Amino acid sequence: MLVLRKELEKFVNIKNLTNEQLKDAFTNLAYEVESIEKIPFAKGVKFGKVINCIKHPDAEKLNYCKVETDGIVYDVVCGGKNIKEGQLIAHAIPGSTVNGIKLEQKELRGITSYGMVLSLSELMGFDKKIIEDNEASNIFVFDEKEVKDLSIDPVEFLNLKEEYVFDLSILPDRLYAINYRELAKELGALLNVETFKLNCPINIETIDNQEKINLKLGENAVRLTAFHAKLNKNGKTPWEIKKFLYLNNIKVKNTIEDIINYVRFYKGSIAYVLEKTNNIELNGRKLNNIDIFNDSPISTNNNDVTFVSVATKEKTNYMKEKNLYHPFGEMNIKGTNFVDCKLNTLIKIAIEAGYVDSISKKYSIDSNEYNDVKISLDNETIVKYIGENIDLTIVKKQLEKIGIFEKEGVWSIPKNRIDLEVKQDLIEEIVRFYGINNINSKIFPITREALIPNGYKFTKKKIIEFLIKYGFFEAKTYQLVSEDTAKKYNIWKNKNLIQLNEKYSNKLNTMQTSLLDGLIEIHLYNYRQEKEDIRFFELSNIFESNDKFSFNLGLIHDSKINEEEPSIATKHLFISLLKEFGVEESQLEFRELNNKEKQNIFNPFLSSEVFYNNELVAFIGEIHPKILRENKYIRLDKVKEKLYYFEIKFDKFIKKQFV
Amino acid sequence: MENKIIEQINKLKEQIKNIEDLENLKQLKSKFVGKSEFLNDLKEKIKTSSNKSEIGKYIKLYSENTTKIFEEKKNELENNFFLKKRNNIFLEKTNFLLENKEGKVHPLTKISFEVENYFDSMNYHYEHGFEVELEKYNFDILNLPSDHPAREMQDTFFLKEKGYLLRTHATNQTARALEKTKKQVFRSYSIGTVFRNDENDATHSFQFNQIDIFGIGDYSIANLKMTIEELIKKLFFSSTKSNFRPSYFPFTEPSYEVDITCPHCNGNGCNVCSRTGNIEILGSGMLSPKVIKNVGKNPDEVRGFAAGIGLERIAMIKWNIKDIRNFYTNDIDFLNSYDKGEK
Repeated sequence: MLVLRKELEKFVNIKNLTNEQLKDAFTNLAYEVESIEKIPFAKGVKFGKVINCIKHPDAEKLNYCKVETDGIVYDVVCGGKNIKEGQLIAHAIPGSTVNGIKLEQKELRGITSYGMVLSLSELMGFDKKIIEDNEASNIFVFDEKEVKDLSIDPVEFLNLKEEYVFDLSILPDRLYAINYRELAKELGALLNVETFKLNCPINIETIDNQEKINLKLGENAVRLTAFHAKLNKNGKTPWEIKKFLYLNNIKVKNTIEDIINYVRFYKGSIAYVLEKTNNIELNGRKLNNIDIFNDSPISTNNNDVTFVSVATKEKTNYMKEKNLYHPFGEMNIKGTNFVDCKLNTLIKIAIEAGYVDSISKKYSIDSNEYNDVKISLDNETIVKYIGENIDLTIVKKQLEKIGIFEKEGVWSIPKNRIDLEVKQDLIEEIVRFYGINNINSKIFPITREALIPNGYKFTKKKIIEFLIKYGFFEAKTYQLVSEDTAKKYNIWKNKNLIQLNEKYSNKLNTMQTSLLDGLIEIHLYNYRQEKEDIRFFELSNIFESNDKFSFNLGLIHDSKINEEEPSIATKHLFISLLKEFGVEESQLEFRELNNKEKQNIFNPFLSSEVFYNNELVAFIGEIHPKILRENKYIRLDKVKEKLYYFEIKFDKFIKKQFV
Repeated sequence: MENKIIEQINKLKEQIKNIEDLENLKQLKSKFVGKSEFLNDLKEKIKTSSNKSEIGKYIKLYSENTTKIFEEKKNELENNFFLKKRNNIFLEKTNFLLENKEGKVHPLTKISFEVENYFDSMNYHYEHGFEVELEKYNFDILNLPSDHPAREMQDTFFLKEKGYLLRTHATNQTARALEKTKKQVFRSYSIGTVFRNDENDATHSFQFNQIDIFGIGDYSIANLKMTIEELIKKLFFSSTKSNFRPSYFPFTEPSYEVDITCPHCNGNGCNVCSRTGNIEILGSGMLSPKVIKNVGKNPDEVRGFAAGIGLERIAMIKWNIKDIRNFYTNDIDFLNSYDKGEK
């Protein structure tokens, strides 16, 4: 949520706070401030009058105008579609700043332009995209009757003063706070400063009798609530509403969406505008075509605006699209089944948007309303949770300011706090105001109960310690490989490849079937960096099926390990490593590779399968030159390097230690 | 026509017998495939012939047969060239000693050893984790219901088989261990690889590593703070301070993110901490009553804390490593020098 500092100041007395202090206060309240930015309103702009305007002789889309500003007539080239003689406009003369850039006189197709005539987006320093469509390519025209004094700054006239925007990330458990009023209340409580009660300038009345409104709803509609919102005479004009939306980076559409957005930020409501409102009619008119600021089909009074919220069953994923987590649905775990809360959630959204509704007994956006939810939480539990006896007097006063009252261990929760259900929720609130950094950290008694030693951890450490003594580097490689790679290096003959859902376009979509490919790849990488005597190993789970894996060690080295007979070193490492785990060479059975596919990976004359208790536990041997040829270790039949490898299913040896 | 093809193939078989190296084989292949008059004639004919399918069949017959012969010969030559029948050392008794030389652990393992030392000294149980997981343990039990955005395909790698995924956090082990244990007091940790559907770049990786810890028993927020603060001191310096910030995670309540004072500039601002003096380092909190309920325990009776830490992040901060891909490239120079200059 974007929070305008000036707007927030209308709700809470934070005038004395620096931006940094305000940021800290938000942080303590669990609202992370992503950024603080100053809005680049145009600077040095003056009112000007268009006294003459013709098409630019040399550019189709430009106009050549004479603008009188401060008694001087300037030549200005302007691209605004709507510009014409007699308009009162904002003239950014040379020297003024627009979108953070200082203007100078500039030749545009043969005519020197002295500054520019500003559009709304230029005046406000905003992206054009959020300006309402019919205003976007126009210059902004002021009403001459309203502008009494031409010497004042047009930006000031629009009531745009220095303004900072705080980009707050509101986490999914605090949806109730996506509005100025609630944020102000929490700041007031935390900082012990005054909050100002502001009535929302839009009065919302429920029209109970829906028959009055001729709404042709699609079959998908689950709930519809219509409102009759009156523009308070002393309240905001449509311009003020639009300005508020612009400043909050919301595109103005001149439809009910504007009001929904406005009320949402102002008063608090988790309603979001649904996209599929275009088929819904109100009194025979398409809802999205009604200009709410100018005509309202259900009202007789011109000051009224209409506010309708609709939730459709079809939009079940709409919460996700808006990046909101469902704050309501109770989870019911039996295995992995959940209560499908989507429909429920949608109805509740409609209710929230609707502000008051007969179905909504429990939830309301008004923190002054209470429901039956009460949470019992005694002092003892608080102390246990927090770890120390804290003075609750101040915290209780703070919580009262946000509507949470305690009486004899029973806490009343206001209706808008849909996040507070159990005592842990309440403890979170207490600590939020007490301050997590005010709690002293405390050691707990370390119980020395005997734990079953973990074989994997022990094994891993021992393997690593052993191998780094012999110049080996531990590597980590990506476990996802391409399907081809997984098939090619499937030395253990795993029947099931573990693959990502077909919907992913990722090339690396299969879990590796051995550590071979990754280790060859990193050997090659270092070999190409002209490293010599490269030694690597890797430890990783290799999955045989979704529910079964083995813990494998892969080891690779090249012929530089021992120029005379490198394979003897491979074997030595293999035997002496297993010896560390209590396995003697005599217990291992080395057999020739008999499978043709494996013979394509290992040199059939210099490799072996290793069995332990009649179970295949390892491969060891020289990697087949064909594989190296594919990886360009061998060029034009010139053998440049040989690689030696073993891979052990180590869990077979862990069991021996820890059964 | 069939006879003519057989004739050609026999001719090839005859000539290929005398080939002894790959270079000559290449030339023969060109004679019988690329520059074969017989084949090129057929290819010319098919352009004008009214019986395209029949000629097509002949072309196919010829090509398949020649390809097979050439493949077999190539395999044979390669094996003859590269492989010599010799003593298979792996089937013999050997006697050899390899000299010692200095190797090195991977930086992520170096961090995990430090983590292990710390938690082992506090008598934590270690759980060996695994990557292929049921949705139940990765999401459901951990209070990430079915419509939670983290369960979208753009974040999570779901597998072909329904209900399975590549775990997105090591917290799956917490879910499993919590469900399994019958103990009143139990502390456990796990370290392992996790996956997110991300593009690989300097700061993102679809594969990374996490430490996940939890403890149940008579534990408080104050105990959680101590656990984290001490761990941070072990991983960085005894002067490194932790700062807790209220936050939200589905599986903890209350939840806290932890920032540390930048260990490179001691909080004064430098390029490691983007001049802020602080670095976000981990997520933690008290176990959510919903999670405790989900594993079949009573949240009024069972209380505990949990935390999750990214190993890459710790390593990147500790040794000022700018590119997360370095951990998976395994450049020997990098592996040799990542911790040089460590105080």
